[in-house]
Amino acid sequence: MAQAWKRKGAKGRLKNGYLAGETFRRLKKNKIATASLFVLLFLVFLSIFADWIAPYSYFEQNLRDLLQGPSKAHWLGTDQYGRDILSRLIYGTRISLSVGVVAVGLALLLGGILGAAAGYYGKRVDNMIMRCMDIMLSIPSVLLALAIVATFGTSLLNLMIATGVSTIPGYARLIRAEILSNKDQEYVEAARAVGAGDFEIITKHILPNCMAPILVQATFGVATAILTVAGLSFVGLGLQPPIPEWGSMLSEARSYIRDYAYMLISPAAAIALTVFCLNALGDGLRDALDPKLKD
Amino acid sequence: MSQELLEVRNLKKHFKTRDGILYAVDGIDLSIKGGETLGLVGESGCGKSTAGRAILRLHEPTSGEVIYKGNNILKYSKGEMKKLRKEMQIVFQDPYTSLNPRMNVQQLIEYPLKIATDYSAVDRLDRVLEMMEVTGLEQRLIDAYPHELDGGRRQRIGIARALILNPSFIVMDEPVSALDVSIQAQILNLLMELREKNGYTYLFISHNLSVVKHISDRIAVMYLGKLVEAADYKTLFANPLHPYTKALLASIPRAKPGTSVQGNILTGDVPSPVNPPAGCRFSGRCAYAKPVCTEEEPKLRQVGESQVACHLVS
Repeated sequence: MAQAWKRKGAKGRLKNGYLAGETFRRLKKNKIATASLFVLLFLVFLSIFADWIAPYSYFEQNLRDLLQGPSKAHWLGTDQYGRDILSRLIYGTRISLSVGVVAVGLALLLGGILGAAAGYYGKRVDNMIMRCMDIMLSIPSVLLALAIVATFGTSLLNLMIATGVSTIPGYARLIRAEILSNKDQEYVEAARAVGAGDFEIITKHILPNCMAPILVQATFGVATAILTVAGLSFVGLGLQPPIPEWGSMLSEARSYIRDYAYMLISPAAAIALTVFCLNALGDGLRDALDPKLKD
Repeated sequence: MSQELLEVRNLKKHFKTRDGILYAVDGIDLSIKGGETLGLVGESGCGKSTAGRAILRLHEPTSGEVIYKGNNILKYSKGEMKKLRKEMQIVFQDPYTSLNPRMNVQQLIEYPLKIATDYSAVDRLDRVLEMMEVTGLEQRLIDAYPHELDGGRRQRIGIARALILNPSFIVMDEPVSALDVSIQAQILNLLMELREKNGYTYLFISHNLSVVKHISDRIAVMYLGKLVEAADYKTLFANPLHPYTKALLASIPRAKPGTSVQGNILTGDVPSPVNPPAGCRFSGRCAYAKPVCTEEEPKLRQVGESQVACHLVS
């Protein structure tokens, strides 16, 4: 009987994506998270196919139509140079999304490695790593990003690195604290008792059990990264015009807020929507990954 | 009986704390023959769990020797140790914390195979089902997560996980003390059944004398990081020599109402292992203590059929 059951159930159970499928199935039950996932996928789609989707070019100026409110020709209106805001928003998706995701990815990766090493090995390693992080923390992160961009130049890649690097200490601290509170659990010792190595223990046993705060921090981090880039653009160290980027669109529109508020509303709404979706997705993902909240 | 499977010589495990060095295990000698079960008893905090973990090098011992099948495993490299872990396993006390909450039953039980062998996924599943059957876990539970199961079932997972690599030596670190009494009996019987079938050697750590008596061939009594007495379980119960052992035996609750408690019931607490008393560590609580007891530390020596560390026994 056992054999029959095994042969029948084994196929599906042994497939590689079994657990990923299980997680997705549970994520689907969370309507807001699912909707957010689709919105984000749609944004990714927009950014990839911006050249075909955007109705106008993002840099061509049309001085006859400047500062037009929303109309049939320009759904979201035009800016102070007569550029179509919708098109700039669509092209801006590329920059803003990639900056946010890459910067957070970088910070999470480096901060994760440093924090995990500090928390897991403790003592001298911990002291060395965390004191370095303290030094970084003592410099305001925007200032640090500013210094990096000022030194290495204002390319998109440098922007990503700058925004990412300046948030490393936050992630390192968070992950170190999480590892500290989990590494003395008995199940970690159980893994050690069968001969699992340090890397295996950290990645397979400890980290999955501290996903919740990390996911939340990371989704907020994407939003912060978009805003940091906006701030850098504002002081002229971000992307140079006419490259469209949500943050710089926002700061440009700022001076027209009294008479042409629509210019400000659309990039702000785009940032808010993205941040909201990321947060909702992060929340949903956290719940879907937690077996205790199953079904 | 077959020859010694495991010998522990002068094993020490000290921890550095703020107040000084904590002598958790301070020079114990044990020997376990193949197929035998050694019960290690003592009050909470006497170092028995630390001793179990130090033997498996889960806590790196401070000094001493652990000789397994003739080799001192404390000299083993990381790679050699990893291979050895297949033969030496541990069942933890608390089945609520010793199972990774993110893994389901299948993942938990097959995990040792993933780490220590190159079995294919199908072979692993085969073994998992086999172990579930052996340990009395229903097959339908294979996708369940630990938090969905009761303590007894969780401990069965802990046992299945420890046995799946076919070890020869298993440290049982209070495997039943976190369970309900009715389940304790089930798990104990399961452990004894498995031992009979497969010839496992257990180091059975417990503070519960009745449980230890039930399962052990020999019993060693620990007090504050030291061994005070070791003997065959019958000898120990019939003729305890060390005053501490006597007091422990006297503290076992009697099932018969009206029977008066015999012997001395211990008063006071175990002294701190950070600054253990000089001489015999039990001297402060011992009803028979003589001046020599606070001056000289008694050595473990053979008296009749028992080994005992007390100046007053001859």
